[in-house]
Amino acid sequence: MRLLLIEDSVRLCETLSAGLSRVGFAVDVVSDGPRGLSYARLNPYDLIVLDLMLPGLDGITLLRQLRAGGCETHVLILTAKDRVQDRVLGLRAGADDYLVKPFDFDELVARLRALLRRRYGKKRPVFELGTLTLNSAEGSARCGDRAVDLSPREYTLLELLAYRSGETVSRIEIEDALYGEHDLPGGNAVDSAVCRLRSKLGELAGGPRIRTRRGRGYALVAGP
Amino acid sequence: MRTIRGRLLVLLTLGMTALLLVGGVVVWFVVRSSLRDGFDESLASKAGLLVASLQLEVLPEHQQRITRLGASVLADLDEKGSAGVDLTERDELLLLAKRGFRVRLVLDPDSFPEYRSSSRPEYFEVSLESGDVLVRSGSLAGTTLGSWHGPAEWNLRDVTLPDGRAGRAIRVRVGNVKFADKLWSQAWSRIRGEARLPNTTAVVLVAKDLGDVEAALSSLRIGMVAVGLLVVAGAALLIFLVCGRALHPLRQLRHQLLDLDAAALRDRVHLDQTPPDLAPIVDSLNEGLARLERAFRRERRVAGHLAHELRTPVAELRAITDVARRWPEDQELRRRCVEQGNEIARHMGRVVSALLRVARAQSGECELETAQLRLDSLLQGAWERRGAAAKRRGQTFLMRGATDLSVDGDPEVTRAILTSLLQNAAEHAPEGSAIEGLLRRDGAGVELSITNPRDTPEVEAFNAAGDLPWNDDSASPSSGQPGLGLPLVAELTRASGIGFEVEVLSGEFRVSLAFPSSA
Repeated sequence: MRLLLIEDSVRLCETLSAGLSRVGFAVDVVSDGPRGLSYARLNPYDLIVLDLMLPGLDGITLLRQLRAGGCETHVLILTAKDRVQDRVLGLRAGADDYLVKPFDFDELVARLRALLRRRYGKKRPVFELGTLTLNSAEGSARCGDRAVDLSPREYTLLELLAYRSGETVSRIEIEDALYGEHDLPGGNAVDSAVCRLRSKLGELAGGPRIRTRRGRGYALVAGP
Repeated sequence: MRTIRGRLLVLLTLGMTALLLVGGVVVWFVVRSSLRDGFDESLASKAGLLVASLQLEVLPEHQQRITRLGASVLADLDEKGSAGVDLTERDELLLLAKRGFRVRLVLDPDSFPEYRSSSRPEYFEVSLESGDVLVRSGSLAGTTLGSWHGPAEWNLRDVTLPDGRAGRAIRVRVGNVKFADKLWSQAWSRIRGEARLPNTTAVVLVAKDLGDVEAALSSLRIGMVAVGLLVVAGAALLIFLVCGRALHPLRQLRHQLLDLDAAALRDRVHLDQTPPDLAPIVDSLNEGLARLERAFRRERRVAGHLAHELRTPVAELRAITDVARRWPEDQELRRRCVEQGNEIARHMGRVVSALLRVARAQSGECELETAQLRLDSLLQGAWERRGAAAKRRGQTFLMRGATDLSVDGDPEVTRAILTSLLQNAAEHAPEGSAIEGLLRRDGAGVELSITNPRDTPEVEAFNAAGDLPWNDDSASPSSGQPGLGLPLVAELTRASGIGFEVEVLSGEFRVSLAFPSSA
């Protein structure tokens, strides 16, 4: 899932970017307000993590302009401002969640995953695809009692296809969800990722299968 | 320790009681003296009456013979005697009279009934100075009043009466008792050459009990004590009420001070009607409260600034440790986390060091160092420390004006101030913009202004009292640079004696520092 991190602390950007990438997010990092607004308008992000105290353009103004422009991306405000009126102001400006610094990294990830479920209209963190059980809260997949060994990127791909189970997901959408602006994927990177995940799913008895819709993309369907 | 009202009540009541006591004693003695004087005058009047009633008379056996002579005989005798004529029977009588013309003092006790009263009788006694009692009052019943000698004709003294009562007596020496009969008086005068008691002086003693005086004095004493007690009680009540009313401002002051706590330091002491003698105290209290409020507000402000200053590095530190713990097998991630953690720790150390330096300088524990500093060198050094972040955003720093000026200041604090200002300017300036430093001489001092373009539409106000409302924006130490927020920079400049002014201009943000002296 593709995430935009708008945060002026370079150290925090680096840390969060490294951590979030490892749990499967494709992270783009921006350190000032004007560029953050520009990135959010131009790219189809699943989530935006927004600091309020930004050089150039403060987070609240950025958020208001974003919502005024019709952007529906879920936004989590991550800030040192901890007063109630600040939280109310942020939520009223269009934020979907609010987290105060200092924060727990696991809490941040859990909140981001919760926002993802909201994005795809899911309430339950666990959903089953045949014998495969996907836990979006933990970011893990199991087949029966056995954990399925997936890389963060494979899990993200499986989660994307699972969220849109039965639908055809285009190669572009998959690429946007898996790779950040600095990842520079190769021409067949999406195909390779789908191939690896398909292979792992094929080993699971009764698990879901990935079908290729020629010229349109891929779809996750129930297993045989 | 009693309350002021209690002390005033006790002291004023005691003082009033003492005054009443002294006044009562004086009045009592004056009245007593007056009563006794009156008593003495009454006693003297009685004695005078007795003295006036005391008369000389010829012994009865002589009296019978001489009386017969009559006044004309005496007149003739006088002429004949002088002429040497023969004596007749009447002359014999006269000669007898010449030989044995004896007189006696007489006083009729029946003329004075008060001296016979069985209830509280009075006493008198007439005697010769030799002690021979001539006559005494029936109340004495054979006893005597005694006698004493006194130099004056009239002497007064306290005595114990024969019946045991306390009394007062007067002694009168009488030397010129007259004859009861004018005829005898003339005869005695011719014979003796004077119409006085022969060869002796009568002494009249009169005594009377002091019961009336003592009763009056006793009544007066009781009355005065009763009135005094009533006056003291009434005065105490009055003092209590008056003190309560007079001390109302103090009570109001006390209540207001009791209601004051750290949460109500904005309140001031206000009395409905401040007495002039309390006004300085109220003013001093209000000034103290204002100072306290400023101190508390500043403490809260500094604590807030400090908390905010440390919140972001703490968040960074926590995120770093969380990520490093989650993927312990990733050596590269671990190495980066350790490096960043170290950098954060150093940054926080600088913040704490600067704050401690300010706090110690303000509390007088230490003084800031003073050295001659080239501002342009410090600014260039600070800009270079910002390094990569500024280059990445394409920002430049330009020095203008008298770049060779030096100032006197603490190197560490001045460096922290300049670094922070440049960092804040760079963070708030758009990409590719130029930040300008202008140095110029301002009288004896040096003024440095750092101006950066600013594309944020909002305009903030600067609170001259030292509160910086945009501190949330400015206090963010971002980009890994060791900077302090503007509020803490303001604290540092205040502690260093450097003037600090912020101007929000149209499209520009300018911070000016006024260094007091230059080399």
